[in-house]
Amino acid sequence: MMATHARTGYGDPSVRVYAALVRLYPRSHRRQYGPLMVQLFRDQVREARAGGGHGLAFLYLRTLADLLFSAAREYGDALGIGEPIGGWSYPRASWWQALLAAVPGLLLIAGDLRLFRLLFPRLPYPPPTAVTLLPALGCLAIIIGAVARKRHVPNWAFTSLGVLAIHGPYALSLVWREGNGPMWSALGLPSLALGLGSIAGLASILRQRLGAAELPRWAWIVAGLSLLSIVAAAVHEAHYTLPWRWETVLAVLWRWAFSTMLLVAPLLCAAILAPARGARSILLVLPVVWWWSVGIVLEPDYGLATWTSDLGMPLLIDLLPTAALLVLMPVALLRARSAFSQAGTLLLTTMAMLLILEVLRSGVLPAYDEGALFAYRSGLALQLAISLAFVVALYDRLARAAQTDWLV
Amino acid sequence: MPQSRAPEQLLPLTPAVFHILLSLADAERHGYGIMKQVEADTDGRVQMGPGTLYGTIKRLLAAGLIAETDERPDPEMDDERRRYYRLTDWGRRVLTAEAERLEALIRLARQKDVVRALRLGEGGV
Repeated sequence: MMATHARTGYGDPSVRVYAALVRLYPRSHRRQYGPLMVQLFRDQVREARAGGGHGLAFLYLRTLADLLFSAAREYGDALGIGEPIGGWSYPRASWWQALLAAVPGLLLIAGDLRLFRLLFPRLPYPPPTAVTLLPALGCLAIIIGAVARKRHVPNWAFTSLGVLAIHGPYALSLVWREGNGPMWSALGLPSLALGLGSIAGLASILRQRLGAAELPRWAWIVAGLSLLSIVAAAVHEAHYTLPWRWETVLAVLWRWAFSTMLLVAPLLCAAILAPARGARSILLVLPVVWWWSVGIVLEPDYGLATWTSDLGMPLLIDLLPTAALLVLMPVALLRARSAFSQAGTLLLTTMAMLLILEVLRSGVLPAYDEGALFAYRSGLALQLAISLAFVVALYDRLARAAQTDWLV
Repeated sequence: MPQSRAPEQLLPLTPAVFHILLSLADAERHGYGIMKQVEADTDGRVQMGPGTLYGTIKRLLAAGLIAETDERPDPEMDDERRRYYRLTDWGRRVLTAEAERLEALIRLARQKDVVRALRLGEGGV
């Protein structure tokens, strides 16, 4: 062992630890630069030891921070969303493309919030137009793209197709429960078939796009668990009348995760597809304003649950984190230098604010009646699939951008 | 191809990129040599860890701003496992463009007496 360490130069325990931690980097980066990084760290340790004092401790702390941030950056780079070396090297795209990418998600959010029920009280929820029109548009765009341009299909088409994946589990639950009437049963079966097909399609795209990026095994495990959670949500939805002990706790956690993705996904798409610089960044916040205002003011069940709550000032509970979010988001967008950091900042800001919101709301949850709980439980699978569809569209776009416009 | 684009399209460079290119402006260096040169150039104010350094080097190689070199300054005294890097012509053009951009900004700041105003605000001269 001594001979091995002498040969590799890893004799110092901290160098051996660093050599092990280098495994956190993506495989290709590790293979190419891992030995050089360890060699560099060994040189730094030798110099710090010679210098004495606290230099070694500072070196360890600095290197640990460097390792965490740079490893995250390298994974981003492997996915084609790494930091540019300079300039404002965003993928080029027009505003209308970004709008088209965001519209399906926004419409579905509107559907999820029952805006359609408010606007069209005679139509069933979710509106059949949203269920059928968006995938139809997606299919049409894919066909036109394939025939006319022969190059690539617009990403929003994939996003629209992802809508079908959303309705798969929901349709499964409807079929399981024999639906809410003959029309739902009729919608359920074809929607289920299309949904399962779309999930397979999404998985295929994910594998194609992310497989090349050498994602670690744990990422695939997370992806698999996400898909399992869709099925679990459908099963749970089918038996929603049965008592579930951890329901409230899970509801809070799930609301947090899903709300984060629901809120961030369209913004990420818009931010990546249409690089927002300067005052235009503010425009990206508009969907958030819209989402919150509709969700808080117009959604009948939630609005009723909060307004009739005895806890007082329920609206304030929503408005405070929302106000903070609306202030922080433009700041984050203006400060971020690359699409990667912009997306990361958006995600973190949203998660933090929604966590505060959920903690505050947890005191209001008992005010929900069963119908209100059902209202957002039924949206869990929907929202997760929306997020998946957006993420797929996002990676699709970024992967293409990486081959053409990224860097120089 | 990188050279088909104007250097200005890459500006402004990130600090790590600028310092690495600057450290290679006068000599070919290996990773540790680059790190030490950056520290020396900035009086220790800018320091890079192994991850940031080699991540940036990877991107610079991909962008064609630097290149690996096989020549060793002194093979007898050097570790053969080290890789040396040099500035390419394209990298030098980008570095020059960035330096000119910064110079123009400094000139503007001097015209507006910003530096003096800042020092006065801090209770300086």
